[in-house]
Amino acid sequence: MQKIIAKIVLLGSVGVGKTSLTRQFVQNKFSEEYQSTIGVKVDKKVITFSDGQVDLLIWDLAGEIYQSELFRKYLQGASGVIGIYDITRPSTHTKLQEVFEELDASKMNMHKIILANKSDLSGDENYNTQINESHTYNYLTSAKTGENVNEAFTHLARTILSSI
Amino acid sequence: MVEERALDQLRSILLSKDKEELYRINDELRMEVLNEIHVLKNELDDPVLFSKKINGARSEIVDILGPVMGRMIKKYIQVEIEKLNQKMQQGTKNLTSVAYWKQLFSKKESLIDNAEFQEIMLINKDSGLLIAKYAKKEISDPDIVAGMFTAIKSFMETVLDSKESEVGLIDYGDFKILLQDYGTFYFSVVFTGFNDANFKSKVLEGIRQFAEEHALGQKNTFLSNKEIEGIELNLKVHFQKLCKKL
Repeated sequence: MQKIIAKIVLLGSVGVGKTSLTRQFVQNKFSEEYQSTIGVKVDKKVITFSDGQVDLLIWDLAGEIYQSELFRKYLQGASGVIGIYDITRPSTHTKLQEVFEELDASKMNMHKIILANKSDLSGDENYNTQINESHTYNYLTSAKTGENVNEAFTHLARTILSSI
Repeated sequence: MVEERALDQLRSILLSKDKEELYRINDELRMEVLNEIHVLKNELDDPVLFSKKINGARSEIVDILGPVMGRMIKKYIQVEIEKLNQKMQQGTKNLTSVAYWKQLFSKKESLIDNAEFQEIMLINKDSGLLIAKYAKKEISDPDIVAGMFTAIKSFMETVLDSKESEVGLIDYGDFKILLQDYGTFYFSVVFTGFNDANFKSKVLEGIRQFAEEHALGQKNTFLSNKEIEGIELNLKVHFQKLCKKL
């Protein structure tokens, strides 16, 4: 059985739910204080398939880090990127698209998926949750209910494993 | 029936203005509430606005948290004073004990803890992925530790604007973490005790020998599983030997 270790990076504006998604998916080892201090926190999740195993090292980047020089450093050596936006705040999708366009231009060889997060708020009339048809995403997720969280991470792990 | 219908019609004619007024007030209130929710949401989403809001409500927060914090601090101080008392009593007992003085002067080694090797990890400098490790005691989740070391290292290099930090030392509680770059990799050595120059130079020499034996300076980022297995096995043998000399 093939076993690989892959680094993936979570991207998204402040408050889109990156850390909550990770919390749904892994057991945290390091305190989240690290994220506010150095802008990143690393977690791990082992995903086993019938034909292989992927140890995902998940680098959860702080939302404010986009503008920083550290952003590029933390992306180095990543096999995959999960971009997350908040369906109640369309501006977070715009920002994510800009970052993904920059990544495409930089020719960093990474698998990318986009999560439209906070699906649990889609029925709440207090929020503007009309998912814009022009917004592209791979999974509609909810860190609160766990909807599609495992599926999204597993999908990326499978893609990375298959590409090797 | 006819009478009732007539009354209903009369009622709707007479109350139509009131109804309109009621709907208007209802709409206004609804808009105000939605507006308030929107403002509040923006404040919560924006860390700057949120901290301003918190700052504005500082006195209220202090009023609520003050008594709780007070009780916690009081308890903490009581426990610490108790510990201090116990230490002082023990110290006084020791000073009057002949056995204590005999033991102290019979010790050959210094009163400062000698540097003691704990673990070494070989890590990919870019990705932070762990290549190989050797530890005297099993490390829990070494992959995550390697990732965090790399993040901290990148952070330090960026903040301090140092392009190539060949050797760095991080102090973390009782532990010291020595970082040494080698091409696209770096070694992290964790040790406890005194930051001894002699210990450090022996460890760095051990790293240099190992890195040269495996031509780490010339290797690219990608290593095959077979190469990694070989490196891990040799790292263990190399540093087990070195530990005996330290």
